[in-house]
Amino acid sequence: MNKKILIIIPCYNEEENILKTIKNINEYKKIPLDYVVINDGSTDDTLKVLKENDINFIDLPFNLGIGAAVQTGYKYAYYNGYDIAVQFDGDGQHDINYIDKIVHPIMDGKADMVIGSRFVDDTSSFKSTKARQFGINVISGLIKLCSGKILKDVTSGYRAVNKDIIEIFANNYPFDFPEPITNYALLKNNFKVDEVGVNMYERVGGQSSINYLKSIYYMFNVCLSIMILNYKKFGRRK
Amino acid sequence: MLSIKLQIFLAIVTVFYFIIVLRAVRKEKMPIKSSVLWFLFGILMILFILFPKVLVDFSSIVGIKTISNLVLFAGVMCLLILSFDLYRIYNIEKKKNIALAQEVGIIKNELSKKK
Repeated sequence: MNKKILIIIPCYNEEENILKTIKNINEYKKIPLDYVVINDGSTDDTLKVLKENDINFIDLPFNLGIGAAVQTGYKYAYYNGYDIAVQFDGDGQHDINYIDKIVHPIMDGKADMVIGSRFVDDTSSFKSTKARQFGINVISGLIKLCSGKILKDVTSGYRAVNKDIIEIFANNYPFDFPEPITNYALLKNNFKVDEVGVNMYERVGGQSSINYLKSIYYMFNVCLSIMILNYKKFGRRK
Repeated sequence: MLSIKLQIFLAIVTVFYFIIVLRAVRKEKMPIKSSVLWFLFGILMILFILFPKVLVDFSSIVGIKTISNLVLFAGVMCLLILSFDLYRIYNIEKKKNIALAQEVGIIKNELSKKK
C-alpha cells in the first residue's frame, strides 16, 4: 500500500541553501514524496526564492521560532491527511538518500517514530563538535535514566513519524527544544521509537541556530524539561 | 504606629491610585470586571491608613518589627503575585498568537494553490 509522505522543511534565512535542498528532494525517485517549506519570517530573500521557483511553501506572517515552525508543518500534514511526516532541515545538513531507511520501519508498522541518527553506526562522518556531543550524551543519559530506553542522537532534527503522532504534534508541540523533549515524551508514553544511522553533512552556509555558549544553556534546559515532564501528561499511544 | 508623615504620604499616593484606576475604567481601557480587584486594593490601602492599629497587631503576630516593613513586604508580595499572573496570561496569549499565525500561513498556502 502506498502511503502519503510529507517532508516538512523549516527554514529561516536559507536563501543560499533552500534551492539545493529542494532540488535534491525532487531528484529523489525511490519513493513518492511531497514536501512543504515553512518560511519562518525570514529577513533575507528566502521568500523571493521560494516564489520564483514554484516551491510549495507556507509563509508565516512573522518569526515564530523553530518549534512553532515545525508544528505548522505537522498541522499541514494533519489537515491534508498525510500518513507519514518527515522533518528535514532546509540548510543542507540532512541527506535525502537516507529517507527510505527512516520511513520504512514506519511503513512496515514496526515503529511509530524513527530518528535519523549520527551516532548509531558509522554512516555519518560528521559528528558535530565535542562540546555538543557531550551535551547530547548528558541528555541521552538522563533519558535512559528516566525512561530506561536508549536513544543516542536525541537532538536530531531528521525524523519521521506516523499518523497518530502527526495528530499529537499538530495539537501539542513544545516551542523550545522540541526534539529531545518530544522524543522523551513519546518514549515515556510507550510509543515505539527507533533509531537508524544516517549521513549528515556539515552546514554549507548560513548560521546554526545553536552556538557554543547556548549549548550549555540548551543542555540545562532540556534536562529540566525532561524531569518536569515526568509529571506532565502528553499524548498516549492508542 | 505609622508616623503621621507616612500616613499623609500614603493617603496622597492612594488618592492618585484611585484617580488612575477610575480614569482607566471610564475610558474603557479596563473592563469593569477586572477593575474590582484594583478597587479592593485601594480600599484596603485606605483602611490601613485610617486604622493602622490593625497593621501593628498583625506585624507583631508575624514577627515583623516595624509596620513600615510590613507595608513594604505586603507591597512586594502583591506585585510578585500580580506579575506572575501577568506572565501566565502573557504565555496563554502568546500560544494563541502562534496558533493564529500558523493557521494564517496554512490558509495563505491553500489560497495560492487555488489561483
